Amino acid sequence: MFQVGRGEEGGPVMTPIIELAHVCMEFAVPGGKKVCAARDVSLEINKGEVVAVVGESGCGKSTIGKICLGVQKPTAGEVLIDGKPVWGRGLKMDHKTRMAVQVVHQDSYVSLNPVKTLYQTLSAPFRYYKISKGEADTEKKVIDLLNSVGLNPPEYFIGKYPFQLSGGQRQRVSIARATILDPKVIIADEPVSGVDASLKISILDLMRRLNEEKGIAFLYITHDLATARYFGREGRMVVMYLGSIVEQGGINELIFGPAHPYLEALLHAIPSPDPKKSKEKTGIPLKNLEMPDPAEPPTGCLFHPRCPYAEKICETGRPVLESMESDPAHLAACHFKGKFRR
Amino acid sequence: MMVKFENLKIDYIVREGAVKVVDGITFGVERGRVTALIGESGSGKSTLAKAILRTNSPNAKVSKESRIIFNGENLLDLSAEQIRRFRWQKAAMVFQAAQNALNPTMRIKDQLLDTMMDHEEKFDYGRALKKASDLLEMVRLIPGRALNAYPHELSGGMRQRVIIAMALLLDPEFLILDEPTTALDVITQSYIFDLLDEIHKRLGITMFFITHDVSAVARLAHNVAVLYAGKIFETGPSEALFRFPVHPYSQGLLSAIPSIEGEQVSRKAIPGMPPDLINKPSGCVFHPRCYLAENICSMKEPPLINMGEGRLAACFRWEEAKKAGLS
Ligand SMILES: Nc1ncnc2c1ncn2[C@@H]1O[C@H](COP(=O)(O)OP(=O)(O)OP(=O)(O)O)[C@@H](O)[C@H]1O
Ligand SMILES: Nc1ncnc2c1ncn2[C@@H]1O[C@H](COP(=O)(O)OP(=O)(O)OP(=O)(O)O)[C@@H](O)[C@H]1O
Ligand SMILES: [Mg+2]
Ligand SMILES: [Mg+2]
Repeated sequence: MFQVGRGEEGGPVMTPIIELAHVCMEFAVPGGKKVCAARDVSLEINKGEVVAVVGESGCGKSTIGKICLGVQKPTAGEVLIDGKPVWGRGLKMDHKTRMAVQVVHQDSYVSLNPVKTLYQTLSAPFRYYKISKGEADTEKKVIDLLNSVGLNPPEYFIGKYPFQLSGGQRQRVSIARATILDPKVIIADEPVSGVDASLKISILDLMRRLNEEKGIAFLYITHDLATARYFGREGRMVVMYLGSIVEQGGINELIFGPAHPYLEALLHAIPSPDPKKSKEKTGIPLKNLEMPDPAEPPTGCLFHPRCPYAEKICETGRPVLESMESDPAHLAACHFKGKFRR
Repeated sequence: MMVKFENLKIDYIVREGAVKVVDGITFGVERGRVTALIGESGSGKSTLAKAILRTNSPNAKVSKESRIIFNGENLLDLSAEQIRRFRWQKAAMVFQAAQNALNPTMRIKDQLLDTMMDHEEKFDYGRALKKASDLLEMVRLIPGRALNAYPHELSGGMRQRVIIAMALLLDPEFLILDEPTTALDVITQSYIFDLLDEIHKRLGITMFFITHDVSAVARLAHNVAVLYAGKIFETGPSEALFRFPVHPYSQGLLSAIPSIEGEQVSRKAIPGMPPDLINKPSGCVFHPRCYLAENICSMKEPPLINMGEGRLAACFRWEEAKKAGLS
């Protein structure tokens, strides 16, 4: 089950920090139907790695995040954190392992307690987990923490309530809080989708620094491929569609050589800040812009009703996620894998 | 000019004092064109837009000397009843996070017809239904299905299109779109912009876009205005402004956008944080964060300076900034 991490070819066998094996997540929805938010998803996050998860709204990105965090129990499959099963019977996961995975949400307003000052919010874990020794030490640690996420001067921010901060400042506080317990991985679910370009960059740079300096791995959930590339650099990317992984591999390999028509469409949809380029763009290569009802998924390839290159076989046979001939680390679930008839 | 803001000043009155959110804005929105107002979160974009339709919260105070001229008439002089008629019929607005603004207990049909009934003197059911169907078709929804649906039965992108159709029900001349796509994914976003482009070409309606997502509007906008801390810093034709922004703030905002093309290059965020709007910095509000700031910038407030070719910038050092931007 354990695989060698990318970039470790020939090296020692490494236990991934998080491993999902054949995970399925079904939700019952009104009308006696079921929505499959994850279908046979296998994924691992290795030490210090950045994995970006991209796809349209409703494709199951946040569901994967919650499963990795160990707060959502999948209907089938295994979840291992540090090699230990999260939902295994009898074996209860120790607190320390669970704390190794932390989260940053999109909406920092709801994730921060509105009636607590930053000091109250950020000092509690230091005391509760006995990381600090005495109040003076706690205060020093909180100040260091605020400094580390660029909230300067810390003395100015320490007594503030969430509503007194800008969106970007609140997001920094959320990130600060996620780093207190020295996590091995942070699940960042759309951490910058509500903020403007300059703030986006400063928050992504901050996450980048935590990754490089502290070796914290990231599962970066987004529908914005440009930020996935900016933050992920040499990392990996996973493309999801209707609960399935349809393509996976190195971020740059995927962006410059998409093998699945779905990724091609996603890339095409990205707006350019250059008006000239933006106007030259013609319609998105999709037969249908609307995602099918997830409670009634299509037969065959889940993507075929929207795929401009679909052929007969796509209506009946569901393609499996397999390696490309040219690049074993690049996987795609498409009958034609980049060689579709245009 | 379709709309002209003249020295518009809006404060929010809070316990700590007056939050100067819109601080003396003068600029115009050209008739029949698409104008985009861009700026960081909290820069005052929504406040400015809401002032047109007078939908700001009660603690908003518009200063006495402010004027918003619409077709030659000062909107700030209109009575409550006049402004009620003005909304929807003359100008309509798609609000920020509008996908959640539909009434969850009413079918789309009833919401559309109600809006028309409220504003039309001679309401004709058959004609109204036809109009609603036509507009839903224009936003590429299947009228038969969409009309009978409840909001929760539609995706976020479909709901947003219903809202756009709704805004067009009473044939407004002016459409304000406040962050019409920021909560949506790239495919839906691109689709909605295609649609708005088509609507603009078909109806020739004047559009006023408000967003912090510069890339999103690059395709549609003819003119752009850059807002920072309640001040207009730069205006001009979009193609020129996006290519060669002159104001150091516009330069910072545009160069921070990560790209999907070419080499991976690192981007720079603008250093520092947006100012406290109660105690704003003296002189140019941007000077504490500006790479070109010198003495005068902290002492005097720069006016909008005409740089030629339809471009204006509020910067004493615009010539240096322009050189730095071009190199
Ligand atoms: N608790 C739940 N009960 C029922 N259905 C759910 C539940 N959670 C998620 N779903 C469904 O599962 C699918 C995947 O949802 P998820 O939130 O993971 O998508 P996402 O990719 O994060 O979307 P977004 O980009 O909009 O955040 C959707 O169809 C959603 O409606
Ligand atoms: N009713 C209010 N009372 C006090 N302050 C307010 C009120 N409404 C808004 N503000 C403040 O005014 C400033 C401008 O708000 P506005 O909503 O106009 O910004 P915006 O540019 O639309 O931002 P965003 O991109 O986040 O939508 C913000 O700092 C906001 O916190
Ligand atoms: Mg989500
Ligand atoms: Mg706003």
